[in-house]
Amino acid sequence: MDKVTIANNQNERRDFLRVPVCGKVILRTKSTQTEIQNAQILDVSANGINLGLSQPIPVGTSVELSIFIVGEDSLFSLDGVISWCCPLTENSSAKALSTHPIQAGIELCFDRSHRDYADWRALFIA
Amino acid sequence: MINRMKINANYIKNCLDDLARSALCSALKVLFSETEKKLFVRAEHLDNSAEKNQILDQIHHLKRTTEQFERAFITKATQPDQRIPRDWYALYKNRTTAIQIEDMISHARAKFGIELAQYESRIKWLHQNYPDLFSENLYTLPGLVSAYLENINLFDSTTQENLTRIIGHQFLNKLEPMYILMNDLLIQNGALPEIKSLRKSSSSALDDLLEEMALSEASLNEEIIQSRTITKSELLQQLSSLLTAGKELLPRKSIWSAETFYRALLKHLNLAGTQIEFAPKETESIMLAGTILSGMLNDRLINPTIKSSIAQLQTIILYTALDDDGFFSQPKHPARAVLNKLAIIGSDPAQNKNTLQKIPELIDEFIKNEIKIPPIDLSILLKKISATDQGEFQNSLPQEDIQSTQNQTLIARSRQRVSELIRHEVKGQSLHLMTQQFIEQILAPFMVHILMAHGRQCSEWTQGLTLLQELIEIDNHPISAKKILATISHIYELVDYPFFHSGGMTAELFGSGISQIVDYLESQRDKIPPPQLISPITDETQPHTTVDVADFATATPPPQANIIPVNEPTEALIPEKTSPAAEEPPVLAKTIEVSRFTVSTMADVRTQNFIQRFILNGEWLQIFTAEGAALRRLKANQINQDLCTINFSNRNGEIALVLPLVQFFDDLVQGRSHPVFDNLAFNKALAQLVETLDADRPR
Repeated sequence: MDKVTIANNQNERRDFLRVPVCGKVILRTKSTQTEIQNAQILDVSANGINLGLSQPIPVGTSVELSIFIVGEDSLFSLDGVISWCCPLTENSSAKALSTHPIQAGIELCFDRSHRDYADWRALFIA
Repeated sequence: MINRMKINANYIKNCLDDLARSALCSALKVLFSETEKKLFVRAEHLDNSAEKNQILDQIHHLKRTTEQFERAFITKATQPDQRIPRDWYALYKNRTTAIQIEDMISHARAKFGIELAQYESRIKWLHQNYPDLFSENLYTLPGLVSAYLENINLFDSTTQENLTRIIGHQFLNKLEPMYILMNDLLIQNGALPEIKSLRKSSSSALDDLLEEMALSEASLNEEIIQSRTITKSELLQQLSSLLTAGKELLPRKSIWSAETFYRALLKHLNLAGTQIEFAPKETESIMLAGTILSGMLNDRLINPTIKSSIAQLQTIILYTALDDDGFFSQPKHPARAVLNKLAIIGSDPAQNKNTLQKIPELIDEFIKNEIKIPPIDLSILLKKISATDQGEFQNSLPQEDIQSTQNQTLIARSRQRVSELIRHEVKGQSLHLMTQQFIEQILAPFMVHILMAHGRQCSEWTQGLTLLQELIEIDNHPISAKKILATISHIYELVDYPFFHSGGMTAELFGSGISQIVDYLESQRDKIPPPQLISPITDETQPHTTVDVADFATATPPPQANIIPVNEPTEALIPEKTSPAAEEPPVLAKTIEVSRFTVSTMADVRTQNFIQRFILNGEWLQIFTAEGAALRRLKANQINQDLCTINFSNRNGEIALVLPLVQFFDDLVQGRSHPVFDNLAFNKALAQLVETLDADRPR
């Protein structure tokens, strides 16, 4: 955690309401040292996603996300930027804590050429 | 044989294209979605980073190429001069795969049977008579496979292999409903099955293959002659005997879809030995009833006990759908009301156990005692279920009020965000009246729209924010003429944005707003002395206002504000109300009463134009289904004019909901159903439509 900026996420940063959904994510950093990890969705909103991670990722890192949402039964491929990252302590189940001890907030980047973004916003804007 | 009907070949071609495009795009979406999911699961379980990376690359490539593939595939499949290769090896240079493709086509052909044979035969007839419009293989299985394989090289080699391997199971096998509908369309429009013609086919290169196909079709045509169309009364009689025997067509634990339901019925009727087929209207009704039942039985949120009860009602629902046209067209038909009620009870996580136990008992009792002699009156069952439900939902806030405020709250929240941002940027600095009006009337609504539709990561948001900062700077700091010119050009860049031309705001307001701010900025630029004569700023003659942006909500509106309609962008700066209940409901909801629209209203050309333009345009909709049930987010897919219903599909293109068109239209007018993203053009068009329909109504 030494190189990771830990931000306090007490203040709500999202423009839209958080929607609790079940799902999994494969996250890949866009930096030169490509890092891949499986993550668990904690909640989503129209422009962000809250993930449980196994390893911390520095704030400001650009990431590629492959997101599988159980209720929607479909896959979204989106890009985002890590907004904050901190240990997962509050409101989390013991199971989530054991496998994904880190929590990260990711702001999704809009890309008009890709229809997944429009679908994501339409489905999760609240 | 003489065709007694006048054929409108262009009309038939257009209808076929519409039907095929919708069905093929939907099938392709499902195919790609399944492929992506499989790749995701593989990647998820891999420990090796390099392999994981490779699969993720494949997923991203697939995601970014599917739209291009869809377009190329449809273009190729609709070409009138499309030719299929003599063997699949010519297209796909792998003998094993070429044989597999041949097998997959044969399997699908055998599975689809008569419907496909009839369709192919009619298309051949159309090709013989209208060769410029219809290719010989238009939307036939070989034609589709050929178009598919010719464009598959858009994907990388691994994806090509994956997609080719599953083409039969995941794509071709799902096209049966398309052939049923297209065949029905051709029958209704008088396209005959192919007859042996003396005319030589122009595509002589394929003579052998055509001969072979013609022979196989001739044998299938023999089968066609032996089959017969079951009449509606016969079908109802058969179902009636099923009802009295208490048999189910499709067991609860089967894979439920409209197709499997249709097949189960066909299988039951064919037991007698005769090859049965249904008339087009009956086919449509069976498929729709199957879709409604499948939607509920596949819904993970509905309690399994209630799902079993719904499955028990399948024959009753099918009988009612066939016997009573009101089942599809009347929103409050007792059979639909029963299904809605069961879905609500079953999807309530806090539902008490007594109710869940009593519902199956009630349905058993109803089936045993009440349906010995049709017609079936489901209102008795509805009353009993409602009584059992102990009026749990009756105490809640009226659903209409909750839903109308949900959308308003979302807009209000976005407006508040933009308002806060503007307040932050202004930080108590003064603004000229013209700048203030421009920000209030044009820039803020634009930014609210961008925030809702695209978020803060897009270039338009940055563009809006930059413009805001520049305008504030012009009013408060010494600035060069060059910078003012740059700001003016930024304003003109806004003019091109679709929001301002698709009903985002009135043309008068937009035009006057732009010209006023440009005039003001040009006057500011003119006042700047030449470089050698630079002197600090303030122009005493110009009326600077000290009104802070935070006070916009309470500031006196300019005269133009009177013409601003509902959800006018100037409301962007009004802070969100603390209580959602205190929100103003939409004007439409206040002024329009329920149930004044009929099936004839839906047939009105103005209503149809509205639906074509604003509903069937691929827009995401938030759809009200029943009191107490969650709103569904789906896209309108298709309208069935005969049954007066509208189908909605999910993002994969699979039909997920069927509603009576009148009910959906009424919900739109009441504000219960609406586009996910607020759309002023939609609101205006709907209000105008309702006004004109009302004006035409006899008083």
